[in-house]
Amino acid sequence: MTGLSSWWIRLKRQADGEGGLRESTMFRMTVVVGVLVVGFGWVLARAAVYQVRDHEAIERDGDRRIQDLVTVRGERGRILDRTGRGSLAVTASSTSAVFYGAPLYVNRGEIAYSVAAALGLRAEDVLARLLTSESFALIKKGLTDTEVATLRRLDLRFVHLVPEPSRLYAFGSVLGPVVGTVLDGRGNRGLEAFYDRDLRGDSSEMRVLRDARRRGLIESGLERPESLDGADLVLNIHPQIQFHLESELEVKVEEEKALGAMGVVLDPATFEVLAMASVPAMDPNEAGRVCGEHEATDAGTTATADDGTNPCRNKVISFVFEPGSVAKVFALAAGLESGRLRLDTPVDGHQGSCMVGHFPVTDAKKLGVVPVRDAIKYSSNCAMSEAGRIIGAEALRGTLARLGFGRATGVDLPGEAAGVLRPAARWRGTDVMVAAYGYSYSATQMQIATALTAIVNDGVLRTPRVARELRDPDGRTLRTLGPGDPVRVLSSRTAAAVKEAMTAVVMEEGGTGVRGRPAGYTAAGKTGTARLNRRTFARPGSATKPHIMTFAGFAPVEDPRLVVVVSVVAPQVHPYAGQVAAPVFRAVVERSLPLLGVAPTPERTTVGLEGPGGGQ
Amino acid sequence: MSHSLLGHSASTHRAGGSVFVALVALLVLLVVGLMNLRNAALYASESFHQTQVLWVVIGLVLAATVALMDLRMFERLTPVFYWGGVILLLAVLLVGREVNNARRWIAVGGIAFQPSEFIKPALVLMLARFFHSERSPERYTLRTLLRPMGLVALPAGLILVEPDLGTTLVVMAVGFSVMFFEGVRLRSFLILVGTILLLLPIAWRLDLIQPYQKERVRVWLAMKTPQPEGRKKLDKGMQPEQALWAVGSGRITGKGGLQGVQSRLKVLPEMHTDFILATFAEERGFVGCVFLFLLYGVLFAALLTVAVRARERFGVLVSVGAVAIVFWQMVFNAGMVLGLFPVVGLTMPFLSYGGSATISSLFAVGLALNAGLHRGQV
Repeated sequence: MTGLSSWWIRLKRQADGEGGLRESTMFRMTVVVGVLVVGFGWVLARAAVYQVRDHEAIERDGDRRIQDLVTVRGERGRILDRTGRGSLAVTASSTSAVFYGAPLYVNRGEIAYSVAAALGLRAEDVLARLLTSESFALIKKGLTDTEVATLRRLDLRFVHLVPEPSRLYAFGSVLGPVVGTVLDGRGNRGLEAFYDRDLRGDSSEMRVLRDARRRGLIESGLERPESLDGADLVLNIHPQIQFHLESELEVKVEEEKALGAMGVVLDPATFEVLAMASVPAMDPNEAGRVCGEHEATDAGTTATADDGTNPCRNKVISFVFEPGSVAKVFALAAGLESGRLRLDTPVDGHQGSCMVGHFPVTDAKKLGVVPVRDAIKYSSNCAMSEAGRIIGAEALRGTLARLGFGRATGVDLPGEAAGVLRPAARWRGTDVMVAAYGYSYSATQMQIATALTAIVNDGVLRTPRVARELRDPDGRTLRTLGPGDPVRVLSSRTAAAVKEAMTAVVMEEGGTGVRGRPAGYTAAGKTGTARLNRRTFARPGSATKPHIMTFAGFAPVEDPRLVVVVSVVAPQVHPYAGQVAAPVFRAVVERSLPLLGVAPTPERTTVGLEGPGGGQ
Repeated sequence: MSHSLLGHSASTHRAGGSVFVALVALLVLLVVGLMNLRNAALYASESFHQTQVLWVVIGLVLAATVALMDLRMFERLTPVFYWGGVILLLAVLLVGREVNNARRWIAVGGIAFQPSEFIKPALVLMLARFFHSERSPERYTLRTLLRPMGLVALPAGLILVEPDLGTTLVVMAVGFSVMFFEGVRLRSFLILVGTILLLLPIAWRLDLIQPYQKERVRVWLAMKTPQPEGRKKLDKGMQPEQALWAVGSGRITGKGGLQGVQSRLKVLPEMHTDFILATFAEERGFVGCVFLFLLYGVLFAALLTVAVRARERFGVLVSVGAVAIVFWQMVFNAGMVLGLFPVVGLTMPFLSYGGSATISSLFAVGLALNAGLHRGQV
């Protein structure tokens, strides 16, 4: 202020004294200076109002326009086979073109025209989309690289490229129902559902500032968005064994005009699931179309509704059936374990024809009084029903329960069915005799395979596992998914005796499972031809009664490396499991053992397709 | 500061002190302007501030030359400047380059410039020459003012047609300033201003005011309405509103260099030209603004001090006119950025990027200094 007034006084003095300006000019100068002062005052006052007084309200208003909270999601982890290299499920980011952020006056027609030309769409269609919503419209999903490049070059205002994660299943229907599916970022079937929490990763809210073109600039939040990514899931699944199992089952379903089939391969030492197949199988890439959204919940609960043809179900864990003759080995185990049976205990085959309660039972092979071992080998229902009576309900049911029947195996898949194993107190009259050859209780194939694996594993049961570990995106192990604690359910001696009886089924002449004998290898197993509910499984015009034909076995006998259970639902060409399921077992074993480094024994081989040796 | 600098030159040094003060203020302003422009350029990932250095250097050399030349030569050359400028304004309408629906630029040998920038000092010279030669012993009557009014109206009209409303207003304001200072009868002056105000609605009706200019006025009026909902509907209001956010978010002390969020997000329109003040206000706050306007104030005060020392009317009028050029431009621009006026495309002297405007403004300062240095001997 002093500066201003002293300047003014000086200005006047100068003008008066030297400049010779008239008095009136001084008046004008006063006005000029007045205008200057008013002008500056006005502008500064205004700046003061905005910057000193109202800045809070102004900032809030401004921030609202440029800030957005967005949810940043980690990328879903991959699902890998046991090598850790084969990707069964990956998340690819496809790109979508979306339209947003445009004020109302913006000419949408122009934008629609440019976008349509770039994406090969009709301009009217695009315009219709842009007009349906004031603020946001999806223009096109899954853009090709060329389209993305074109749009980038055009750099159209208000048209944004948005990455959208889409789940891709590289092997299609291979392992499809096991891998499962994802719906709206959440696993809703199979492993995708079971390990959803680990695969999905985290999400985080971030404050994002938008610039004039409404492009986002991340302002705060994470330094490494990758840290939100989900873990990779490494499976125990052996890709080639899986492939062989599936293709053999598919061929068989076709040959036998069956409704469906399923199979599972376990490593008896670790209870690792090396392969697991359902036929027919959906391709997870097309699950939405094939399975429909109403199926999005999981199997199990409504398992009985599946007649074997539902491609969306993992039949290994959800298809419940009375196991039939396969289960004779479990009755044998119960008898041996209880001490009431030995392999040579004589039982009467009644020449293949007997009455169990009021029901007549016939056997394919007419046996007289034979050791129990032969009752297994020739699969005599009459002989086993007598064995059942010897064992007793308490002991039989106890062993079945300890082997895992009546409860889910705990395999790492959602929707596993438990089957039905009634408490011993509710077993009536002939139930124990029927149970000895595999009826009056029900199970899934997974339960049968797990129980058999416990026998093969020297009587020690563990929880089977499809997945082996979770890894971070950099490949470091986050968590090992072990097979669970070992539980001894049978004595070592019992296990060995059952294995011996099963070996006879396959390796001795006359055994029902000789067609399951692999070339160059020893194997053991048991056939099972079990009745199915006629109403659910019979097809119009079909003469044969519906059966499920199962073969459960392991190989090689001396040092078991594989437990394989295969079942064919309602085959129509051959009447016995020995003809239908045993050859599938044989083929799977012949193709798989070399892959595990088990060479066929030369003198007994007829040179398999794979040849000896094989890789690791 | 001003006290000591201005005070000591009272006796012997005469003009020297004020010229020195003016030069210091000008140089500080230019440095502040270039630093600010550098930040604006960095926000936009561009480098126009480097080009601006060139314009400033050219402008300073020109200003020095003009300041040291004999003003009599200028008086003789004045009609050449003025009519040459008018011809260029006509040329720009015919062969000018169209940018954003306006023809303001003319390109000669690869260099584009705006004739409207250069007509401003030419008009000042022309008016000064007129009043110098047509000296009336009494106050000027409206009739005697017809010629100088025509001298103002001719370029103003041509610029309005380009269209460039901002520069038109500045040209008119400068013309009136000179006329007023010369001693136009107050009654005549008021009638003149009144007539212009009455003509505005007619110009509005006759579409001499462009539709987009009308839109800006509506936006400005909408911004005045208190309820924020009313604002959102006018999307074009975004321009001045965003500038306002930037200014307001600078608060008292500013966010600091390169910390301007609004500037960084490029939500500011014409960030390096018309709205450069918003970037400055966001980074430097109210304190910075006070400092900036103080610099302008010191510059104007010093220049006016120099002006009144001129012995001849021609020199005084030229000086006052030159100050008017820079002053009105500054006030209109600041008023626009701060929402006092509707948006009229105008640059901030010494802050905004632009060759023509920078050179023209420095040329005006040179003219103002000339009068004091040579004591206006014509």
